[in-house]
Amino acid sequence: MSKKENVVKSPRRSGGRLMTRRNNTGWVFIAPFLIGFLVFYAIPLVQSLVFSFNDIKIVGATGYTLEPKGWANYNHILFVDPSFIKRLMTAIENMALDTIIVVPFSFFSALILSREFKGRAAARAIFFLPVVLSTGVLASMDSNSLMDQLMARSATDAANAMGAGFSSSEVVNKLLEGSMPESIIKFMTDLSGKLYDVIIKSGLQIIIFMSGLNTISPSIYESSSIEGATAWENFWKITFPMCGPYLLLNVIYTIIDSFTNISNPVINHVKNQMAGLKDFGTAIASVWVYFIIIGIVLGAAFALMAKRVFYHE
Amino acid sequence: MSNNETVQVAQKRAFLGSSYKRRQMITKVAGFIFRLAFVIGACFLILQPLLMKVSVSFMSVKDVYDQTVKVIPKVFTISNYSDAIVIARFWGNLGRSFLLCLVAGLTQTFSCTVVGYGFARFHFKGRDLLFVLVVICMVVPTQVVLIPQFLNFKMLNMNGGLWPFICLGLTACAARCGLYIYLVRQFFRGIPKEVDEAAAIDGAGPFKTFFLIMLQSAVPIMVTVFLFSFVWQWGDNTYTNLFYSPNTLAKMLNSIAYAFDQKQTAGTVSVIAAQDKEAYKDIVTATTTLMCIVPLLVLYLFSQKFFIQSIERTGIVG
Repeated sequence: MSKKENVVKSPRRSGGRLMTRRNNTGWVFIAPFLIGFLVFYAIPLVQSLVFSFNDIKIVGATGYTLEPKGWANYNHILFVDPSFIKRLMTAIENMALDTIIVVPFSFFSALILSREFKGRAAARAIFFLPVVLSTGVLASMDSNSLMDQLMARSATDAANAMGAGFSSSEVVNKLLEGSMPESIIKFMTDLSGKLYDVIIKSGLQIIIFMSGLNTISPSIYESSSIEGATAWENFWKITFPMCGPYLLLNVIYTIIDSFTNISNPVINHVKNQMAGLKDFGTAIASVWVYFIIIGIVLGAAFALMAKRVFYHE
Repeated sequence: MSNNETVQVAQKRAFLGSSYKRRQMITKVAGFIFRLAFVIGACFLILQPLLMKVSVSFMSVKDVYDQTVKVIPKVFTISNYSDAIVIARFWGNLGRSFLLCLVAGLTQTFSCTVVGYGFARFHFKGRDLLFVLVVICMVVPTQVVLIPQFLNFKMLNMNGGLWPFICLGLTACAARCGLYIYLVRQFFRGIPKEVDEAAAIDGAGPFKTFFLIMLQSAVPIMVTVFLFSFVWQWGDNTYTNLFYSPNTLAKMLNSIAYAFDQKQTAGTVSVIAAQDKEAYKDIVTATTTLMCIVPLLVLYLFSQKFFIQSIERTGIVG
């Protein structure tokens, strides 16, 4: 008996040791990131917190000096400069709107694009085009005045052809007049105008949802269909809960993306300040206030969702 | 009597069956039409600005003022392109942008693949805690750390060249690297454990397994990360404004209006009457933007297959 036990145990033990040794090489793989995090994130984070209480002046080619200012930078952006709070509010508003619209839209798109249909390859290629083409400066070049002019020309022509003398949003307003509160109508017309923005912004979210849909094994659908579940039930009882973690990830990602996008008013302003190599102190202070607010929003979103998310593993 | 009943039941069943089938048919057709409308509509919305730029880039100033011209120019011209090349100093900027993005893309692809693999395939102590650091990288707005990074690089006298990009790239700490690490990790998690075990039994150590076996199956995700980082760097001028002193396409696009005025007064491009200047500026801007997009389009066309593959294989089970 004891001999048998030995035979069974010994390979397990040595295997365990081998696996620990093997697992410890994981440190080697993530070492570059750990060093990088320390040098390019941890230390700069501390530095930047210090900077936010100072005035920074660039001296010569390699040096800089700090001039302690206490809470003056924060005082300036929060109570003296009226534009920061305004920008901050716009940023939060945009974020809320983005999250509410982009996440459901990308989930829906992912559902459609993950189905089999003719021309799916082409449709996918086009859907992910914005991920590639609308980055940074290229995205901001979309709002070219000439383009708007030409597009507006087509729109008014279409309206004229219909025999009506007003533009499409006016038509919508006329149709909805009296039937709905004005704020909802405004929201709807804004929404239709923002459709392009929504599609542009949801590229990566679609990718994340599609990889989430891949994790659902087809055999689950098979067995539930045999039990008599309809497609509608399958969606709400299987697809939706199984995509929960990805939904959470996408909400978080959309919030971050909306907050850190360069078209965001706060980031844009900070970027301009930095490009001028001046007002580093107030720029950093405003980013820290912004960062704390991002943290609060993310924390709230996470707390709201994390408990309700279903983890399959 | 019993015979009659069976007939009735059979009829009822047949009726039920047909209504079920009909309902299924209706759902199918409605779904098809809806999907068609959605996909075509969205594709149109995505492609329209691009096609618009293509059409504008061939327009002359006359077409802009002509109310009957919408998409197809009447006075077809390619002088916009030759002017845009001069105004944007296109070839030089293209070369520099290309070099910069290639360096950023390659270093980030390498480091993110290695780090993502480390997080996905090894169970060492504290791994999940360390992954929180990756999440922090995703959450922290880069602007928080950008100024200290800038000043630190400045102290080492490394600003202005490619060194900041190489350092940030090799340590997987450039912008959006947290996201790439996450994507790579998800991808490697989908590869069955048996692959490692088989390799270990055949005598391959963890490094040999990674370089000889894993990297081969990771080509799709590596191409995706390269595509993302290259493209992001291409359009970025936050990092390039701070760390890279030569001109690039993105920087140039930002100041295209200024460059336009300069070249106009210098007279090195086709000279335009004063009242047409604004319209011509818009045409040249659209043309230049298009010329900046074309390299990305080519890259996307070549990598598209791998890109889609990586999406399909990320997180796959069973």
